[in-house]
Amino acid sequence: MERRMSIPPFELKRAASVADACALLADPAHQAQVIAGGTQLLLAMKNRTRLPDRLVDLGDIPGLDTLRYDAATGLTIGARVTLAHLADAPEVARHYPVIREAALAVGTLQLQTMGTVAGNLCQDTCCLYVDRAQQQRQSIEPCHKLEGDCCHVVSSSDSCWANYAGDMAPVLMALDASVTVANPTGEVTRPLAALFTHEGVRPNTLSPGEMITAIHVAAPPPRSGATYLKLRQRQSLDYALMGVAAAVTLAEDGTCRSANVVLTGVDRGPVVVEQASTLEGQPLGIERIEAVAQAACRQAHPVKNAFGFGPAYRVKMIVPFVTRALSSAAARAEGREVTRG
Amino acid sequence: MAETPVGTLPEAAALDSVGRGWPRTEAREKVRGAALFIEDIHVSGMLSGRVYRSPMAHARIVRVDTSRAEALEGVVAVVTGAELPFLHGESLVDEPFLARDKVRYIGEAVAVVAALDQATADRAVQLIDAEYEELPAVFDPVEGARPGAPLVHENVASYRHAAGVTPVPSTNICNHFTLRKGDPDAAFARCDRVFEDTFSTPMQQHCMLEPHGTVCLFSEEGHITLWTNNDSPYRARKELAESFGVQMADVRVISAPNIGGNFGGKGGLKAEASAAAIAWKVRGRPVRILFSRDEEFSSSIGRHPSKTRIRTGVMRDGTIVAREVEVYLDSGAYAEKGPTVARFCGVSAAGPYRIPHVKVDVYCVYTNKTMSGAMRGYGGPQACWAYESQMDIIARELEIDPIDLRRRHMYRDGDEHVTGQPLESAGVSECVEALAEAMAWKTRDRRPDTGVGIACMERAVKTPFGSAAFLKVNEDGSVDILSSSTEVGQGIDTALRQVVAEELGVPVERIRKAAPDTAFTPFDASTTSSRSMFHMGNAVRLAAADVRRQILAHAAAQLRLEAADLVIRDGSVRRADGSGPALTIAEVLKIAYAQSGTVLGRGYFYPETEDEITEYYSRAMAFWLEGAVGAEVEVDRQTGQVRVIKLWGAFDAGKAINPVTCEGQIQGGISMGLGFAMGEEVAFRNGLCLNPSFLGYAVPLATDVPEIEPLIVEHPHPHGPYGAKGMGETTNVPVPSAIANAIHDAVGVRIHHLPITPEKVLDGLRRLARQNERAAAR
Repeated sequence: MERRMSIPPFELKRAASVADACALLADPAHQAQVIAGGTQLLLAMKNRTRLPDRLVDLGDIPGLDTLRYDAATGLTIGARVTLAHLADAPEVARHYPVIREAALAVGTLQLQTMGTVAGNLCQDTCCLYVDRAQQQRQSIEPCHKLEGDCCHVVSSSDSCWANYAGDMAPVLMALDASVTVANPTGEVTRPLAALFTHEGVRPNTLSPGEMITAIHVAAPPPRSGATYLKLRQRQSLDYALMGVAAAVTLAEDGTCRSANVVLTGVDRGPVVVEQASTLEGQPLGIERIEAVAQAACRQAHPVKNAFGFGPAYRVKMIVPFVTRALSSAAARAEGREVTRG
Repeated sequence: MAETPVGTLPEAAALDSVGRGWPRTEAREKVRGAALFIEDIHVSGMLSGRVYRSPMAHARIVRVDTSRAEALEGVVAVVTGAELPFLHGESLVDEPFLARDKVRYIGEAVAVVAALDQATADRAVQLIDAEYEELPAVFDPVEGARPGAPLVHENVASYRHAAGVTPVPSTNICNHFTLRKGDPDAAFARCDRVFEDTFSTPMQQHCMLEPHGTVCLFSEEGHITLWTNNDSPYRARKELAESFGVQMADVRVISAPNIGGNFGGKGGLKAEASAAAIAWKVRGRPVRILFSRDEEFSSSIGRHPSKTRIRTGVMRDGTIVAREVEVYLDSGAYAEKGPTVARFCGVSAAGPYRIPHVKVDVYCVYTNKTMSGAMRGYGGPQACWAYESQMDIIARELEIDPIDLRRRHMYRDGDEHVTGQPLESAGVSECVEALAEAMAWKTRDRRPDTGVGIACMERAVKTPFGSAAFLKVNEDGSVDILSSSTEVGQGIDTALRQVVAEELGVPVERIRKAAPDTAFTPFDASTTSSRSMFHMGNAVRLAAADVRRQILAHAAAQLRLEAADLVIRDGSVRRADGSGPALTIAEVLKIAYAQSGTVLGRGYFYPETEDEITEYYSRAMAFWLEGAVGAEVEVDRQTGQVRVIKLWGAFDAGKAINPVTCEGQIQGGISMGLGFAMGEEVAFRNGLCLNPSFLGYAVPLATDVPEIEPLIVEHPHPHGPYGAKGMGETTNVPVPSAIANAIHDAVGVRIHHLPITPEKVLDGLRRLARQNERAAAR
């Protein structure tokens, strides 16, 4: 079939087991890559920004499409669970409304239907100068992300400033999620935050032969609530130009037991707002919340590599977004629902 | 029944087929995915083509080495501009089929490869080695118009151009349109207030779902066959015949069975030019070129970016006495349809208002960027953004209700347009009244930080251009329409079937219209400018009347009755009073011609104008497109984000031949205007398109569009078929100014530069707060 934009040749391997998949991915003779929903990978291949010669399909591996909740162990999201599956699951809606909201904030319904949660965590960083058809790159020098040695956005930079804009990572990190990564010799479960390199060229720590098998989120503690707010030009499709996930757990006396705030879309990886921990043990007044919001601004480093709103505006919006997200999370923790986005 | 002459308006109640929302001819197959498009056309022996494009914004071509590409197995031929000494262009002929001597924008076609398959063609393009010598470039139309700017074309005056196009020698100005009425300078000197504002708009892209595509075959004898999704087969044929120096009969343009959207983007030669270039070299084998989405952004056309300065002189009571408008349109590297866009922009730059003293200058200026060209509204959106934003500025400053200010100046039937021609059918005030009522303008509930705004518009239809149609009555009484109007999603096929059904007395289901083929379907100037319903509608109506006359004559002889006493109803001939015998059309034909008969009808419509045609377009327009849009918005003062709550669109259809299609045109156009207002911008950095994809370019998706209430106004046109005129072209035009006016109403912030981003709104709120603080301090 002739196409307006062709995909370069590759071999497709269907792995029979996780061990088999890891072996296929580890083979040094190949540039191998897991294909799940393919919503970002296939476009990158069409654009020739990624040229794996082997794609490993996980569809034959039993168990990876499992989505399971119980009160003791919490939520387990298998590597092949799609965003739509997650968003449609009644137990997710009941216990983790914020996860559902984040899944529904990813792209469009079509992308949610194809894309997986694990794939979303492995979302590549994006940049105006990289994410374009090959023909559209020929008038610019190859940059750090494409094995060159320049950055078209921050011209003085010796590293890549491509933007991490995943929606699931900030939310799952705010909920203290962990991720199980398999490799050819076994598997290891680590906090989700450890998945990210905070480097534009390669945003995740997975090495050849490694793959995510599952994501785990503990059962929500009593008096907890979380919110995800996403800044984007179109409500329908765009990557986060800035996003805030906030999760709050209250003590019985109504003071804050724990608070997590994680930003996306403003740096090369998800940004944990350190100042959020200062809320612990305190009543959640608007002044304290705003102080966290102000501090969050200082941790953000958006640059002009995403289309839509400029970096200055994106930083400016962190204050109202963090304030609204924390207030809304606290309201949910108190059992009050606040709908404002 | 005597023939109803064109221009006579029957009573609405007497109409059977016209005025009803017949389902679209092609709807079912499109919804089922069964509709065929250019991509489905496979011609025996067809090769796949791919275009090698310029990486430079402005550079001399030192060499283009195609040897490595040609050596690749499976490559049949490579052609470069050096081999092709032809130019093409609509009203100013400046564009080579492939760049010659120099490249003028990033993305310009430099060479084309033909190969046995697409993957090989794609690989071969990567093997083309070209060397360039960079030239100083210009990216802004105002800078480009200044003396001493780098010249995109060394000698614009040397190009062949149509009458009425005024290139300025030794500049980048490919057309300078001027309009003068009265004595603006004197009027400005004596008015009470002068309002002066500048406005700008970015490039918008058509984003038709189906990109450009063409299959071209050059026979050994030099005959050209083109399968294409071009909007106007006859215009494409003319351009090709003139470019290659062959007679028109040796060029055959065959429309794809369906065309997936147009909005002006599929006119001229786009994929057609590249396909013709390589087919000219290959000879004897068809070559197909399909544009990818990124080529749509960087290498086809968009809406002209604009910078407008508008000055308006007003008396204390709000009477507008003078208006001066200066518009710079960024043409990009070639003129494309820019010279005529400049004209249409200029003709309506003062708005649909009676203003005694007017001065308009529109400069269409070359830059080293992707071309601008025809796009829905055709100069209207840029002009309307300025004049309708400023109408509100004036109204609020003088504390006059914005609708009242407009009412006082709006054109009415019989007025003289600023161009001097009499207005026969000015429905704009009815549109505004319909809007005011639907929006409950005077009594609407107002919540904090919400606001309402309106904007109205006029725009000319391209005039004077003809349209022809044939009708074939088949042996069974069914009817084929032969017309070169292209169905590009606007619904013209169904509307034409309805007109024929009405005129002939045959059910709509018994009438078909196939896609055009210049070998069979007769002349039509173009499917553009919302001209088809009026022009082709009249042509098929005339053809249907011709057929009816012939059938009635046969039937009268067969029934031994007077033709004048007979009518055709539901496909059968009978007495007007219903009495006596009836004959089906098939029976009439069978009696007349045994087994092998037909009746052929012909219709040709050309709008007669009293003016002498001294310019490229005569000044007397066949009709004016008119309408108004209302918006209700809510502004978030903390983020600057604007939520468009609802949009209303009132547009004058003359007579809605198919009201469902008209409503669709309002919905679709308003969505397009919403995108232009709120986020669409093809952005460039030093000529490089920054967002050549649907991810980077924020065209609204279905879920981004709020409720739209369509209001069809029917102010009958005396010369339109059943009173109809065009309406789809400009339903996008007033949207940005209506939204901007609503934002001002909500929070007092005036936006001058599209798109309206939260950042701009927030900046406006900050400035306003500072002003208020200063005022309070004093």
